[in-house]
Amino acid sequence: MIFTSYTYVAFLTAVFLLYWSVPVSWRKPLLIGASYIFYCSWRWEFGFLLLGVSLYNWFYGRWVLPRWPSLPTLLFGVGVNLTPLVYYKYSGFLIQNAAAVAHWFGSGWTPPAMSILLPLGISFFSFQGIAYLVDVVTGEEPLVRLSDFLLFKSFWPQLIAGPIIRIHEMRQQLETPRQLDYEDLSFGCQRILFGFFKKVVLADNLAPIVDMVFLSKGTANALDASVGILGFGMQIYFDFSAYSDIAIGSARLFGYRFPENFNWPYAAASPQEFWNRWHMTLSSWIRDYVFTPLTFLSRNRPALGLLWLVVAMALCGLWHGAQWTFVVWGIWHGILLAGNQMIRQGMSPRPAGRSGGQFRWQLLLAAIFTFIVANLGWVFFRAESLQQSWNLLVSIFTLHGGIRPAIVRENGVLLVGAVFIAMMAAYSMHKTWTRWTQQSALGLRAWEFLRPIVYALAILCVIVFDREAKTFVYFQF
Amino acid sequence: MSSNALIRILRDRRFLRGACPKVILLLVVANIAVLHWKSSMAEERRANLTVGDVKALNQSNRYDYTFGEDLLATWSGIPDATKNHLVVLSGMSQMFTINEPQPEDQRISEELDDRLSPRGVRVYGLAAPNLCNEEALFLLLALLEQPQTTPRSFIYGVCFDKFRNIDLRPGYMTFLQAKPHLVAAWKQTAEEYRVKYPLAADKMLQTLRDLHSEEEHDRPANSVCEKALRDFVSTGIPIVAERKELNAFIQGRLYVFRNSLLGLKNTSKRPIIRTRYDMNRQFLELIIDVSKRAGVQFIAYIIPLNPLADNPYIPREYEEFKTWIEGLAIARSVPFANLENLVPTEEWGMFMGGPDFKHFKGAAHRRVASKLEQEFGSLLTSSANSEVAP
Repeated sequence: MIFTSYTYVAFLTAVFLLYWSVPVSWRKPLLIGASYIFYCSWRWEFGFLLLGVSLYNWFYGRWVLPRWPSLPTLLFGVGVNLTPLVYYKYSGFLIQNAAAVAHWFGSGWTPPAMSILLPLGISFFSFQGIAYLVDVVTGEEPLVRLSDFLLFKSFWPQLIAGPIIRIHEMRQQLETPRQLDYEDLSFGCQRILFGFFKKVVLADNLAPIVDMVFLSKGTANALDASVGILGFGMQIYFDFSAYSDIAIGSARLFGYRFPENFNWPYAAASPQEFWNRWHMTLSSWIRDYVFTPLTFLSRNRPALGLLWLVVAMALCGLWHGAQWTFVVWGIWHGILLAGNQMIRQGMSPRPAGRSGGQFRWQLLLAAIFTFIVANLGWVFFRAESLQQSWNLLVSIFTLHGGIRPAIVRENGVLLVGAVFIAMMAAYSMHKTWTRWTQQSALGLRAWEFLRPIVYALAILCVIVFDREAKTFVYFQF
Repeated sequence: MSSNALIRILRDRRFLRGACPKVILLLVVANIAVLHWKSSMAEERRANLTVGDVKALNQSNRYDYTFGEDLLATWSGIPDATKNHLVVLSGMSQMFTINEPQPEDQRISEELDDRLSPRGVRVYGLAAPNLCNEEALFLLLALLEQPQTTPRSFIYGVCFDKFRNIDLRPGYMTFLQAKPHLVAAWKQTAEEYRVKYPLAADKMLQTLRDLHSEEEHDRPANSVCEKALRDFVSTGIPIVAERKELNAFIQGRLYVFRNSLLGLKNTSKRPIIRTRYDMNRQFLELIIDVSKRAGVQFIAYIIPLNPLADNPYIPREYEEFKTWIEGLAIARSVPFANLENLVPTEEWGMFMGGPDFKHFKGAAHRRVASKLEQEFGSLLTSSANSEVAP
């Protein structure tokens, strides 16, 4: 069941009406049941995997870890969570690489052909399970009631592609009855509509252009490569932030508040700020459960901190997919973050003697730099192979083919350019607009007048530009 | 208490005076407007696709009257090749678009069918707007799936600017999805020719991956439910029912806006897109190979162009293209004709305020059919053809 399908709208409406119509005691079981229906609508078999992992984590957090809160016990618990992830997601990758190493040493071993279907959302619910166990060991109270835990693990808005919810963000919401008021309904519907718009109108219409570049076996010119990379940078942002919008909006309709996952990442003025704005729940997860423990272990050798940053980001890349391209993407960001860290250590927020205007120009240049390096990183993320990544980068930096495309049609170039300008314009205006509508009576009236028109136009665009429920990019992770 | 939350919100003044009722009102107005403009939107869509009134054309079973949108619906209209010698005419919109149509006008395939059917040869038109060579190969492979649809000859009107296009349109993808044997044949062809035509073969495999990725994330039960839901919603909400027409309407407006913004015309010079061009050349060669292997007589011709209208081709590139295809025809023994200058100026129509460089009137359809008969009639009607025997 894709979020931007009519089926999902019907499903959400039905569960929403039912949820607020049944007695309070029925609501949680209803949401759990609906979540499993949502998950099993893809492959019912994997519902058992989700249930098994959920029961295990609840039992382990509730009964094992509080009694034996030691590192080996924790590692065992984490290991069990990682087992299905490694099997389903990384076994093919590991075997192929083992074969490559064996081949290097002269062995003629050919790995068996493997065709393992990746359960939807396994990366997300595995990480959630690990975080839960670590939190319990470090002092968080485990969830007592099984129903609370089942809902925490399976609540469908966050199940497939995040945001990665942690127990301290949900505990109070799980343990107390939820309420719904006008603000919740309004906020939820608005976020869902914006999510639909970003996904259906923007991401899905950029996707074919991006695919042309990355799936073509022909040689891309500089223009093709640039359009493909910029297009993908926007596609994945609109696609994934749309998913988060719909997830956050859907949860709010049931009275649950999810953490934000995106905050205008392409406006970041440094790689570090980029990761504070991009997939925020994952970056904080990586920071808290990978980077911090690693630096803690080597606390006597602070110089290793930068290395652990690169390692943590490489693992973050590997989490996204079992391919070396993802690992290189992670390393790329790790190096950027390490460089950022080194520069920051010698800088104050605003260098003395610089005027505000000069500082703004510096910020703008820094934002442009960050935008370029973050987008260059997408080459590794989207490319089919490292060779293709290299070819595309070479095309760009050697200006291969000049300004003529070899793959993308002219309309594709125009569309990517238009969406980019629109995105930049939206960012430039949104702060001023928000301030104006919040602080001025005229602004408020203008917004009250414009709001229904904006919403109605967004709904119309979603209907008209719909490409029949295309899957989200992050479903593969 | 349980349903209080909903009732409370419904009674909330902010809800009643907020955006929701106004949005609903605006959507009602938009739906009424869509109903009002329905016919002009359908007209716009037909103009975009350069097709006539589909409903009026439904009586004919001599060509794919959905123009590639719903091949499954028209496939059964193909004359039985086990009872007649079947000739399939394929190509782009020129094959079916009639500029300034008159009641007695027919399309090239119909004209040719009238001329050849007395000699036991039936002609069927399988054309679609902007048909590219990958799609032509798809049509050929689809025809080869059953003896009843295996043609004796496959005539292909080659259009230079279609060498900019790739991908199978949704209507063909749906057809492919519904035919597992065709999927297997598609895959086998791609793998077989991977070394000889790497660009084309890789593209074919990519098409299969696209097909499978849709299936993987969208189980049949889901898609059936989704389709039923969309159909249900369409019955009550005109905007949903007319979304394709609305899309075409908006695309048309965007096209005009783009042209006015950038000072473009439909005849503005457009250089070839190298990789796409090379890929389409490989696809054409692959069509020749597949035809020969299947014992199908492949015939190619360069489509007529309007001498009055400027075209968007770069002259040097177009000359190179013609030299290449003529050389290919000789090298591969493909019956070939260059009909570029066949249609006189008076038989061309108008498009967007200027002479249409690619679509002509009914008289030209008769003229092209006549020329095809003259050039290739003996090939089309001969009972045996040793040159293409498998």
